[in-house]
Amino acid sequence: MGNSPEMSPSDVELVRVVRHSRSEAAFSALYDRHTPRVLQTAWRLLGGDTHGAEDVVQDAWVRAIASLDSWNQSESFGAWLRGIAAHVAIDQLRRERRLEFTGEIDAAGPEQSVEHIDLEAAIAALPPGYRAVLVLHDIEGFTHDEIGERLGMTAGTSKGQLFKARRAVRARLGIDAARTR
Amino acid sequence: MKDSHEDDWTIDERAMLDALSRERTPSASLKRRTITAVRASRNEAAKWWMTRGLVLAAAASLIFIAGALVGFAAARHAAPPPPETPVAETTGQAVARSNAPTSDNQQTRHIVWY
Repeated sequence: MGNSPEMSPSDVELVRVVRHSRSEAAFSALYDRHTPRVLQTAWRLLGGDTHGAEDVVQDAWVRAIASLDSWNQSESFGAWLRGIAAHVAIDQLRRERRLEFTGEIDAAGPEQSVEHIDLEAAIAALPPGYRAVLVLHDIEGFTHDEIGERLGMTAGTSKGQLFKARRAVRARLGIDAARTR
Repeated sequence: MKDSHEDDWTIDERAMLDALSRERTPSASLKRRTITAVRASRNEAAKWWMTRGLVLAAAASLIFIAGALVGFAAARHAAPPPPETPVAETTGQAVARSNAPTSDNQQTRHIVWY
C-alpha cells in the first residue's frame, strides 16, 4: 500500500483505535489509505458506473466497520475491504438482475470500433457476470474458489467463464486468439 | 492467492493488465457521507442493543414477578390449617395426656381404654 510504518500507524493500530474508541480521526486515516483502491475495484466491477461505485464503497465501509471483529489480521486490511466491496457490488448486480452468464459474448460493441477501444473499455463492455470473474481473478487476484463463493457458482464454472471473458476481451482488442495460444 | 497456472495471458497482455490503474480518486462528498453512514449505522446498532437489553430486562422482571405471585398464591392455598389435635401421637403421649387431672381427660381416658 506504500505506507511507511515509521511515519503512520499501521492498519492494525488504526483498526484497534476505531474499534475501541470509535475515533473519527483513525477512521479517516483508514478511509484515506484504502478508499481509492476499493473505489477502483467497485468501479470496474460495475462497468464504469461512478455513482454506483461510490455507493458500493460507502456500503462496504459501513459493513466493514460493523464487522471489524471478523477481520483476520493475517490478511491485509485492504484485501479484506476489497472483498467486502466486491460482495456488495455483486449483490447490487444481482439485485438489478444483471449478473447473468447467458449466451455468447459479443466480440465488439455495436458502436465501438476495435481500433479505439482500450483494455479498460474492453473489460467494461463485458457482460457483468463475465466482467466480475475477470476483474476478480485477473486484476484483484481472487482464486476461483473465492470467486465461486461470491458469485454462487463452482470453481470450475468460474474457470469456464474466465476463459470466455478473456477470449471476448482479446476479440475486442483485435488480438488474434490463435496467436496467444 | 491466485492460481498462476491458469493465467494464460501472454506477457504483453499481462503487462497491459498490470498497467491498468489500481486507484481512483473518490469525490469530495464521498468521505463525508461515508462517515455519516458509518455513524448512523453505529447509532442504529447501539439503539438495537439498548432496546434488546431493555426488552430482556423487562421480560426477566415479568417472569420474576409472575413466578413470585404464583409461588405466593400456591403457598397460601397449600398451607394446612393448624391441627386442633396432633395427627399422630405416640402411645406414651396419649397416656400422659389422659393422665392429666381434667374432666375432659377422664372422658377421653374411657374412650381410649375401653
